[in-house]
Amino acid sequence: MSAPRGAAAAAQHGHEAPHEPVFTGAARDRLEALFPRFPTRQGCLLPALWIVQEERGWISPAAMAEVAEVLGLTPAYVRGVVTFYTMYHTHPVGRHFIQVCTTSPCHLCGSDEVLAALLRETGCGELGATSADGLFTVIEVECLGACGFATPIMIGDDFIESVVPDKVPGILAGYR
Amino acid sequence: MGFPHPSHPKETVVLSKYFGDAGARSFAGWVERGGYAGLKKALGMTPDAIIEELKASGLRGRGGAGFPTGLKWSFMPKGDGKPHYLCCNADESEPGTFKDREIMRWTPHALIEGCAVACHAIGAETCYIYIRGEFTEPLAIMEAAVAEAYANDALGASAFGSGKRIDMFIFRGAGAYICGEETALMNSIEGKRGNPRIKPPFPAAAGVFGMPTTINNVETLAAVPEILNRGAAWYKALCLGNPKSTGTKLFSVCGHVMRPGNYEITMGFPMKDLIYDLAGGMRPGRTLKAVIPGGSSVPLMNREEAESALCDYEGIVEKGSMLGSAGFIVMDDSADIVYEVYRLAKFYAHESCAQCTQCREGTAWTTKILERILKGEGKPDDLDLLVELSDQMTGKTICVLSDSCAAPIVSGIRKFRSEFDAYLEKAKVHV
Repeated sequence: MSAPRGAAAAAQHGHEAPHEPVFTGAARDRLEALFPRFPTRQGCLLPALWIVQEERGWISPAAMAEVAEVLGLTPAYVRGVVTFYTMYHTHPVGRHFIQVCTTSPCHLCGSDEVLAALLRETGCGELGATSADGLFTVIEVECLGACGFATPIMIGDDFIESVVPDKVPGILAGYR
Repeated sequence: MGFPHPSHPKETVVLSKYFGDAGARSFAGWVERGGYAGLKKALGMTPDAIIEELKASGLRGRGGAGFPTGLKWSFMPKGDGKPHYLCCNADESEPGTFKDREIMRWTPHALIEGCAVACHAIGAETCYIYIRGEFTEPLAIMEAAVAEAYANDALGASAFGSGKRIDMFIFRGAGAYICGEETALMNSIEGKRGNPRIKPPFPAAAGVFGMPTTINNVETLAAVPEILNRGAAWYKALCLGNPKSTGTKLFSVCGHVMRPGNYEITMGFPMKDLIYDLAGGMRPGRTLKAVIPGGSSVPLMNREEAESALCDYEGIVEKGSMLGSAGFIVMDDSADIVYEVYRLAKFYAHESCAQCTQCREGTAWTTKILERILKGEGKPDDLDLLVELSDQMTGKTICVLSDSCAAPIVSGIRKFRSEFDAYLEKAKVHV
């Protein structure tokens, strides 16, 4: 499948705006810098998907088709890989995507209260919903690997340790 | 030195010596602190001599399995003409474990040095360091450190002028606990879903991209340079009586303790001292109820077992659990064992790659059954059903994720039965 056909078909299917190619200019250079790192083009898939997400905030069906085209894969294959990994967004999310660890070690230290404070203070109300101002989306995640610094949260790429409910308003103020 | 707490006199500080010291992060800072001497020494040794030194040191894999490192390296074929690969497993995702993160944050060059030594020993020219995607700070620090190592000729076409090519690439994971399983990690690097592979073939025969591959944990590799600097005998002597478990190890302690954090102790250290002296014990008025010592994938220990155990591979097995990655989840008497076991089952159900029926169905059903028990809707034979399910989930799948889900459930029921019974007898409901 050629790129325009794949991208156009995917865009039509998802009722998206026409797809602007991701891999042009600096993003293309970043992609090509990956090639010598792996003996196969397929090996570049996860890093290429990260480039898409950094550029666009999420990975649309049309972008999956573009990645498939540049790496010699099929859009269905790329979609299968994208949906395996929890960090790739397959739909647009709030400007600040908040992930809260609630696995056992953090649960023991009060992560449920931290989560409740975040849902309340962002105005999201419920898990996965985006706040009315479009600023925040809050989700619960499994172990963030910082159990000694309970409760860790991520806001976008910022990793914030030792969050307690009282600190939540102050933390969010920095993102408004 | 410890981190984030001050160093404790009972710690034996080797790996964590520069935790909290930001000056150790740069190439120059690392060299000033004696860094890269181990790699330079290794580059002057034959691969066989390095492997023999590692075997003699007794170093065992710090990621969880405890496999002897020198022996693992010796499995790599020689003279086969194929490209060899080293994969460093920095996908640290095991609940309770947060040690590799600190190694990468504070001493990135210790890890790079260890990886480079391993590359030389196993005949690899390429190393991928697979870091979980959520670790944004370690990722940035490791990227910067690798770039500096290239700029200073520690890596590249001829590492320190030795003629040995060593290329090292940081690979960002994208959110999947299972990618910490070595064959799933290799699939992920290949641009695939992180499904574990059936073994054999083992990675040393056919690993990443089908080529001979060695996979080691961050802490294992970071321990290597100092072993070469100071010798196998020095490392082997760092143990408290059990020659099968040598050296120092980082123990991550979290949950209901006063001073959660990483503590570096010699193998064989009393668990009671780790929990009460180093980690500060329980909160005032609270008593110890349970410890899950190996990250979440191992059986629970009750108070008696935990207080009498020695912290090494054999010592913890003797007391009914496993050392694993040494991520200690400590629970005091306020903890609800049934809920915590349910929360772990939910974790495994979320993280199952769903290839194997026993795991896909088993993790989902154990979660549902535990959920109904918590709601006060448990059936009289639910505990028997959970034990039966757990049996079907143990030793029957491609990887050990479903075994890991079963371990806390079975041990929870066996050691804390009365807490489950309270829910079944409707004496208690989780709100």
